[in-house]
Amino acid sequence: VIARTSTPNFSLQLVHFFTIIEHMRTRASLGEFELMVILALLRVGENAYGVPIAREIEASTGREVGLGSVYAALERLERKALVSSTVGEPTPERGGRAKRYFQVTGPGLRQIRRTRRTLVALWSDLPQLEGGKA
Amino acid sequence: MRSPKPPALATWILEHVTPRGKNEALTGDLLEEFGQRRSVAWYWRQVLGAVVVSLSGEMRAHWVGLSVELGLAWVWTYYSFFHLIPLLPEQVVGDSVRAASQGLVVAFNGSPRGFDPCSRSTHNLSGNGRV
Repeated sequence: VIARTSTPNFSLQLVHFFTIIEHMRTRASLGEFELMVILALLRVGENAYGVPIAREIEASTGREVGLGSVYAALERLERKALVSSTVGEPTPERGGRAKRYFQVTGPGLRQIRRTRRTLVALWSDLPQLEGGKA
Repeated sequence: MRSPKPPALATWILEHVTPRGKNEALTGDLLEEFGQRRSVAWYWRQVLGAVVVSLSGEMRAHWVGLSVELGLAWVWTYYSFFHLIPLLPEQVVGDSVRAASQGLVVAFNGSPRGFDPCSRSTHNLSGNGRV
């Protein structure tokens, strides 16, 4: 006699359906600002958190950068598993708030290399951009 | 001369409007930067920018649920306006509209002396001058 297995309790609620659709839209490629943030993160190296990353971008672009935008980009990158973060110790000069340190993951490095290959291929052989005249 | 402390209201907005758990590191970074070299105007700019980015990000992240909720709200408003309200007695609708309009006036201008929004004689204040 074959024992009848119990039916698995699989209930897909409406909220799960919405979440699945929302996650289907998540892009694997890097947006322009995300690319700037992840490259700045690589340049800062160890102990990279919001302030040095924003300063690095400001130094490169010459424009003020919103720390909120930097954190939003870092959170998107973390959702894509391209960066990871660890929480540090709270310090008095930060009003008792802890720092959040970010690192580029292995998939993140691979994605950066892939993006560079794509962009270099697109930038090459463009006669309209030669000579420095618009 | 630069203020030694960041605006408390801006910090409060940052901590209460942006999603809890995501803002601790951001708030700490802003306080650290402000303590080193930044102005009050910079602090406000950063806080308001962070709030806008956070809210738009939440809306983008939950666009399906938000669209459904807005659709349901629109259907409910349409249905109640054109199908439910005409079924109500005229007196009830009139009283409700009058009470709502007086509530709006009180909300914007403050309560006049002796005005009790809960009193049944409230509508006498806005009508024929007899109190």
